[in-house]
Amino acid sequence: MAEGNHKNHSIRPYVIVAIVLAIITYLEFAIIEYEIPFLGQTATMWWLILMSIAKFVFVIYYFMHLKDDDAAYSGFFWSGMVIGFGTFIAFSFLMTAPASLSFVRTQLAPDGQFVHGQHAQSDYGHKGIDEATMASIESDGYSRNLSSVFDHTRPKNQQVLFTPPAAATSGWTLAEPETAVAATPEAAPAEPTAETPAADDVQAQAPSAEWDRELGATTYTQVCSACHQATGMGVPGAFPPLAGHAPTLVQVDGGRTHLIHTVLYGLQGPIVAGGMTYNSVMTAQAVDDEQTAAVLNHILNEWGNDAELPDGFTPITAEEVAAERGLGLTGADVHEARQALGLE
Amino acid sequence: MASQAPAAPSAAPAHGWRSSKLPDIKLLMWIFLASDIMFFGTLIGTYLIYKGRSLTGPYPLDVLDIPLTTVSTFVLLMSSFLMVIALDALRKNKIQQFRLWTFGVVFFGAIFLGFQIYEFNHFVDLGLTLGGNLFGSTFYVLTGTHGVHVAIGILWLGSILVSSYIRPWTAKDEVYLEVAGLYWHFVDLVWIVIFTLVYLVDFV
Amino acid sequence: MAIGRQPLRPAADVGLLQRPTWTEGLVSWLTTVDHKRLGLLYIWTSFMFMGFASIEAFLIRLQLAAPGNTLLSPDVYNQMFTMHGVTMVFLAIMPLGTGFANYFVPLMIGARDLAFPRLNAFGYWIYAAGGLFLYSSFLLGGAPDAGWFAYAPLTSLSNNPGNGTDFYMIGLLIGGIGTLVTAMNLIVTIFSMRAPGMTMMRLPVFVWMMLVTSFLIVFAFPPLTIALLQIIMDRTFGTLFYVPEAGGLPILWQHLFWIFGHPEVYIIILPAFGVISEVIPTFSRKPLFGYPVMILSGIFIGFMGFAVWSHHMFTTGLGPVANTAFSITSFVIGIPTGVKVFNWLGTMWGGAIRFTTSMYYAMAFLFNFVLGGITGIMLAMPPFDAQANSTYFVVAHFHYVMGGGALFAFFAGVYYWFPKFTGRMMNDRLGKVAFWFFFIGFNIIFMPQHFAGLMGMPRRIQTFEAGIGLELVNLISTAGTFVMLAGILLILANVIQGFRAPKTAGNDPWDARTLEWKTTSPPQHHNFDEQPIALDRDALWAEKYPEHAHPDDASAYEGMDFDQGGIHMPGQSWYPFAMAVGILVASYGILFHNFVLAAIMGVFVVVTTYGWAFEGVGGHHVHPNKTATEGAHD
Repeated sequence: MAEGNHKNHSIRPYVIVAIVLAIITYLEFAIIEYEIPFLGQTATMWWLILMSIAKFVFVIYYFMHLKDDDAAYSGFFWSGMVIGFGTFIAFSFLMTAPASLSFVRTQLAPDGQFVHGQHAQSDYGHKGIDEATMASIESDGYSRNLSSVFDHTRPKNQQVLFTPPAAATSGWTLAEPETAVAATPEAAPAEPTAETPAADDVQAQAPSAEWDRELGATTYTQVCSACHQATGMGVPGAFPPLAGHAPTLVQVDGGRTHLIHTVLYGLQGPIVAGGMTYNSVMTAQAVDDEQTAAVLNHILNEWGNDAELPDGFTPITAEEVAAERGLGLTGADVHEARQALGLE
Repeated sequence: MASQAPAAPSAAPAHGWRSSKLPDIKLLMWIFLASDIMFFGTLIGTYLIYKGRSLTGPYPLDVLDIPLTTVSTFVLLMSSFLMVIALDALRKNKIQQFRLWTFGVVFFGAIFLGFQIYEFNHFVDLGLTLGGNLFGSTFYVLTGTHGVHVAIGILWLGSILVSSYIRPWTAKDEVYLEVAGLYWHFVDLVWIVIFTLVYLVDFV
Repeated sequence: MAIGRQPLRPAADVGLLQRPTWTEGLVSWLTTVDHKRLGLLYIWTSFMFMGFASIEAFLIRLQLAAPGNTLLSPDVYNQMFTMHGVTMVFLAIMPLGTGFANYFVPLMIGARDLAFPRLNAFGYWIYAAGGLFLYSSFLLGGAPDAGWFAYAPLTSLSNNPGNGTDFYMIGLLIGGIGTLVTAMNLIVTIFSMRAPGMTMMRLPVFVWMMLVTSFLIVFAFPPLTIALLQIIMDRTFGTLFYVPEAGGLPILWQHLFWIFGHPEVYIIILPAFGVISEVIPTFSRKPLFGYPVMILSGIFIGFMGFAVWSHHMFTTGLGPVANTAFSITSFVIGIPTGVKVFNWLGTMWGGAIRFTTSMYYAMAFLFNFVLGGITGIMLAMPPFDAQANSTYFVVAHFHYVMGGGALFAFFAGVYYWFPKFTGRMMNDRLGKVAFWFFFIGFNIIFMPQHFAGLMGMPRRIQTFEAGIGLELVNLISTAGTFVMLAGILLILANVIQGFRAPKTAGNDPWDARTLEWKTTSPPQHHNFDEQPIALDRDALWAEKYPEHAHPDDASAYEGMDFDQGGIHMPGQSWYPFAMAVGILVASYGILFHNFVLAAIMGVFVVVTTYGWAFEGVGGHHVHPNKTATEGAHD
């Protein structure tokens, strides 16, 4: 049946499709190369995706003849597409938004801001759940403590698929990401109003002179990264994140000591970090005073943590660490002390 | 995968009952392509999940070259166009045209591969290596797998071109070219997705 | 028309290797493209690997017989449980289903062979090569020891410097190629080679289940292949996919593995469902109850199989939303499975049941599988899973599903089809004695493991302490292995006795329903002298008992000559075997970082590809009914 058609078939549709494909490819190039002023980032993204879907459909329906061919071929191909697409959407969601509850809630927040503790508390009220019940629900290590979800902003690089590399700001400077450039004008006017710029500079540069950055980084890789990961994000449900969490500890009086104790004596018991409850064991680490101080400073300054440090924070010193040795604490003791400080 | 391609001559016996009018080999190719979706789906999924997780440079924005890749994308799209023209010519029994367009496909495919080899060399010079950072690992394995597909396609279509001089191809042999063509278009489809998700979105 | 075309070259012998024509001896088996011979090769090879895996299981149980036992060192123990799992899943039970499919799908749909006979041969040889490769690890520096799912980062070069992991990765990779091509081949065969009148809704359920299984393979194996490739790249070329220090995410491996791994469970169990759906109606002398619902449940199970993978990962901290979602999909998949179980019961209900050995195994399948299914539903609840995860409860669960389910079903198939394979009958009484040993032994081994698990005994431990209440359950479990061993030996005796029995089976000893029983036992090379026609769903019954069925009018096909010019039988070929050998040697090249050897073998594989392509399908025509057909024409 097919052959009779082919004899008289004109190639004109193919030519038209080829031209359309060429034009779309140029448009894709143009939209990127000559930043279209009235298109925002999101719109550009959607246009790109739409255009590549259009190309995809043109190739498959015209060049691969699915349009006129037997339905069986379409069935094979689209069943592959549906299963493949479905699987990998779900899979990407699971990989990039492991704390899925807070992800959903964050999306629902009307003003795009993170909801703060008080609001979250009133959420329980709406549902008629009293705090004692909520506490028992939260104690199982799987459900998240809702109030704490909204107390801490979530680390940036965990939320969406298409973020520029979080680590892009450290070290590599061949080309600045354009997004970073775009962000500066907004940030710039805010700076002069915040205290004295000079003091800021001093503070930003001061710590660099005061601890061994290299030792901190290597110690972290050797000792900490197996659990807390090189990204400082930990493993959700198993190992708490340090990014975004560590600086909140030093905002409390006694937090510095607590951090040192955690490394020297370990920590055992339920804690909340990054909006998630963890209940596992960290053992005491076999590191010397220099390494302990360096790695703690590394953690407190890495992954954007430095931005959240309290004003006037000075790096932890090896002497401070040495003073805390020999107390004979256990991981559970450290946990008790942590709760005494008002930390979850 | 190499086994897929030239295993082509269908086992369809010359006689006997068939419950489907569709050529076996074309069915096989479509099923293979459906399976290949999952291959590339996994590779692209891995790439997207590792996006932004590299701890050291170079990062995509440092190395990717949009104008160059746009040209190579265009070349691959046009080779796809020549592929349908070649199939159309064979169906109309215009053997000379069929040879010419098939040569065009192979030639354009080779240019695309050349671009990719140049790109890889250039990226290595810029410090992007297989084991340097996660971007290097995921990028090279993804685009490398695609490049291997292109190379197999070139080998396959080149063999068809050579064999058309050894023994005459006629409109009767259309399905063997069509199957090679489906494979070639699929390689093009994958590149459309890679071009958008790996190259373009980084510059948004 | 694009079909029925001559091959690229005429069938004359061109190419590097002369087309072999041996019909007996070793060469005939190495070069065969006959689906029945390849089916038998699959079945024998998978039973051989099952023997190896049973030895490993036996050693594991002996080690765990008493607390503090030192029969196996922890290192050897790790290799044993890893190889037991890998072998049973990839080299024994899954290929057993493929073997049955190879033998019976063409016979059941009234075809003369698969659509791509040489590709089929390649599928077998590359599977055998993969198995050989994996088992050669015992001689070449230690077997894989990271569990059958080889979680990253246990497989990283720094954590696992030996060769074992490389054997696992490359072995499964090449074995997977074979599984993939065979699945594609089966889909095309079922699509385009059904007998006249055999519509999709008349296909035997076994064929339907193989169709669903093949689609599952086609979509599920690529993620595994890529994940394996990533680890091979990590270990061989220093990429960073699963290196946490560089930002890699070991959890990604778990996702990719289970995106493959859960469909894999259905890849194993669906053919078993198919076998049961053939055995139970035949021995109940009733058509299968609710045929369309059975088919739809099979398809639904296959589809949902892609939506439940994360229930293997409830304790990895996916969060309550994801855990809930995957818990719900896992519950949903219980519905079609339950439908199937009730339909089998409905088939037996009111039937004139014949209690043959095969039927015994089928009913034992129902018992074991329902038990395994119920523990499966328990494990689908995240809070329970958090307790039972990585304990012997899970071990008991999946052994009830895989062993008590799939394996018992395939044993039912062996007893059911043995007369068709050989033309001889097995001794039914001996079979039943063996069955009771096997069945009781199985339950003695695995039933106590539920309790061991609930008492907190973790999986994969080499030994356990005395005085924590685990001695008795483990001792009972180990004692069960001896009962099961007796059962296995009796089954072997039964098989040997079967091969020595006289050829008295005839074409159709069970008064069966499907077309494979229409031809001789064992079937001749071209399967059917005359093209069979399916006039109703249970095609052979419709032919034998038209009064109980509502068959189509046979006169519609009268005078049609389906085998004009003779039956085409494809020619034998060396290339599938040569290509598999090439890939096997290349794999050793990659494993030992001898890339020159790998490249040379790569070129060799390309050469065999060309030889294969230009050899053409070849073959000859047979004329079994020459006089009859000529008579019809005159």
